[in-house]
Amino acid sequence: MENSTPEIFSAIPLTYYILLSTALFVVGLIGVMTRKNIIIVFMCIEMMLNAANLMLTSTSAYYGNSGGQIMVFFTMAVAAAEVAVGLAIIVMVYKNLKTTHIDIFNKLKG
Amino acid sequence: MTGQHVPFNYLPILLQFLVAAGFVVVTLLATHLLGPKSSGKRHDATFECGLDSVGNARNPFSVKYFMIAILFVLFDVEIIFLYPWAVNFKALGWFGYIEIIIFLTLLMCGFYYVIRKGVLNWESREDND
Amino acid sequence: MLSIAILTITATLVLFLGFSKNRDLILPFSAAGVGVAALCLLTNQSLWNEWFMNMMNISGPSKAFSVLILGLSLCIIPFINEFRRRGTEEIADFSGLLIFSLIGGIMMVSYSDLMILFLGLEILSIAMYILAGADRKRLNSNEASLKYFILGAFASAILLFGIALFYACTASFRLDAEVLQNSTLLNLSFLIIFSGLAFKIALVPFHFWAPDVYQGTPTIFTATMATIVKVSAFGALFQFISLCNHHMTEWIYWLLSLIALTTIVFSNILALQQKSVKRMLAYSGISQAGFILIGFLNLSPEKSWSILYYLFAYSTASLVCFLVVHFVEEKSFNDDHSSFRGLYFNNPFLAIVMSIALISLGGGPLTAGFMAKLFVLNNAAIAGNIALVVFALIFAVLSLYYYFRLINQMFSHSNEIKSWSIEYPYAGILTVLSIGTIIAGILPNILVDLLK
Repeated sequence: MENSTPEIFSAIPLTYYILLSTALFVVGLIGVMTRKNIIIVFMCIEMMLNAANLMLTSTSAYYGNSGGQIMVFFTMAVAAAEVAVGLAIIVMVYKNLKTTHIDIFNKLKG
Repeated sequence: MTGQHVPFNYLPILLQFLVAAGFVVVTLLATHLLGPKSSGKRHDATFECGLDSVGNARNPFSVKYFMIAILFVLFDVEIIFLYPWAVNFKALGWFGYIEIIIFLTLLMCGFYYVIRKGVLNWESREDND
Repeated sequence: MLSIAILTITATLVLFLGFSKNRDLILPFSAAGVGVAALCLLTNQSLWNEWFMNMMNISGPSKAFSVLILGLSLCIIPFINEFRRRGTEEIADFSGLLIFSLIGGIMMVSYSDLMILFLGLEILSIAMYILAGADRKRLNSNEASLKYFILGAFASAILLFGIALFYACTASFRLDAEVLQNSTLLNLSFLIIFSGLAFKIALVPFHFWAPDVYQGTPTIFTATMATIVKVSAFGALFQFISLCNHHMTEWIYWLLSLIALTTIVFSNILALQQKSVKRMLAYSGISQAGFILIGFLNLSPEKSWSILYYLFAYSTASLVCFLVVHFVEEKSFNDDHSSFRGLYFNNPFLAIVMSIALISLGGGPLTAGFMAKLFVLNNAAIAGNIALVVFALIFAVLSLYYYFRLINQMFSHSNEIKSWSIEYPYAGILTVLSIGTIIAGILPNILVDLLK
């Protein structure tokens, strides 16, 4: 990796990338809090992870430092593992309940 | 560098976009116009590998398809760790080779575990998850 | 490094032992692996001095955290055998996952690079999501697993975004990196990372998942969540604050003390209203976390032992409580206060052990909990947080009410007296934990010297 800032950043400043990823993150955040279907909630969480990935790759390119891109590799692998476990849990729930609606879960209350 | 030549920078992307969209439109239109047309009750029925189509398309199907899909996602993504190694194969030398062997060994342990659990066994009993 | 390698190999072998016909070997083997790993940590066996290019570093407090995590897991592993009594034969998977989560825990308490923190957190959490749903056929367990998964993944995403912001400010994941961008953004990243960790610890604005998940999870893994996960998350917070407190501005500490205060106030009030003992213990755990957070307010390397002491006191007592709840739940099929009625006459041993643990959680004298609260609040008082200390004391006294209500239930007569007993190995573990609580309470110097 060369240690100079790539040319693209003179046209699109780093701030824009940070703002874009923050916006994506907030969209995901709101989605998790408001949506009712587990699958969609799950997609929103993935969106939050990808917002972080976007920020990591763009800053990594900006600083000419490969650390961020390595982190993205790990994030993707970890996210895949999370997806696998998450979907397995959703299947388990679906087999018992025949629905993926989150409202059904109100049994555990004080 | 100023922002003035920004639109020019994006021209290839725009072209790519147009080509991609155009390809879809052209193919759809062309098959629609050029292809032979025939219709009938049997012909319009959903094609299901020679079987009569029964019931709703949203029927839940066996969880085994699902397990295969999940496992595919897992093993597919783990492959990304091979790319950096492949790119720097010479530079990393034996150290990298041993590391990647350890990684693949652990991955294969997981694969063996999956096989022993019977997830890939299509003829096993239905409630196997 | 060696201990992590040992744990990885043990966990993998344990998973494969599950395919053999003889399942009695699984748990002794797991315990042996964890024990060897703990010994390696204690005797400073390190194969390589530089861990992953210095991204990890086990020394001083992180070693104590790691040993605490491994010790707690050694107490939990034998209890996994209880699942066989319920007809679940997959104990190899449970035990293997538990050991994998320990690897994550060790990574979380000894990182100096945020990449390792994220990986450790995920290894710990993903294993715990599955363990929360260990009772596949029970809907409560499903619900707990799903809730824990959704909120855990949410927390990880928040943490990752905080790490990304940190990277954007410093071009490095190392906690001692120099700052390149403005420091407001950096402090914002600290805040987001804190929120992510606060989810795992269950501090008050982010605590709402804990009671539901604790209640639905099979009790043995609730014990794991309440102890190992909490200790790991606190270890991560400890490492974070001690390595980059020179970047933090004053308002972060103000916010931390505010969180500690609200945590103590809300959790104790909510704990008063609970009918289910598991939920009550969940809220009690949240309030203890608030007390531990007070210890973080004026963190210095010399004072780190008070946090470790508190974590030791909390986790031993809480472990005993949840394990006793497990046995009571097995007998009466629910965990309401009423099912504890007359426990002393049915099984005096469990009642006494549970009482010691509850008194320790409440901060009664002669137990570890008392000394722990004393150390933490004393430190805060010296640093000048008098108002916080006064509030904490008021609510500590209030918390005694719900602990003693449960003790009162256990010692009052019930209509039906059916004495039952538990097997000796289980009794042995509970005895060791209780004696540890009392010895640490009467002679705190032994433990404090060890931790120093």
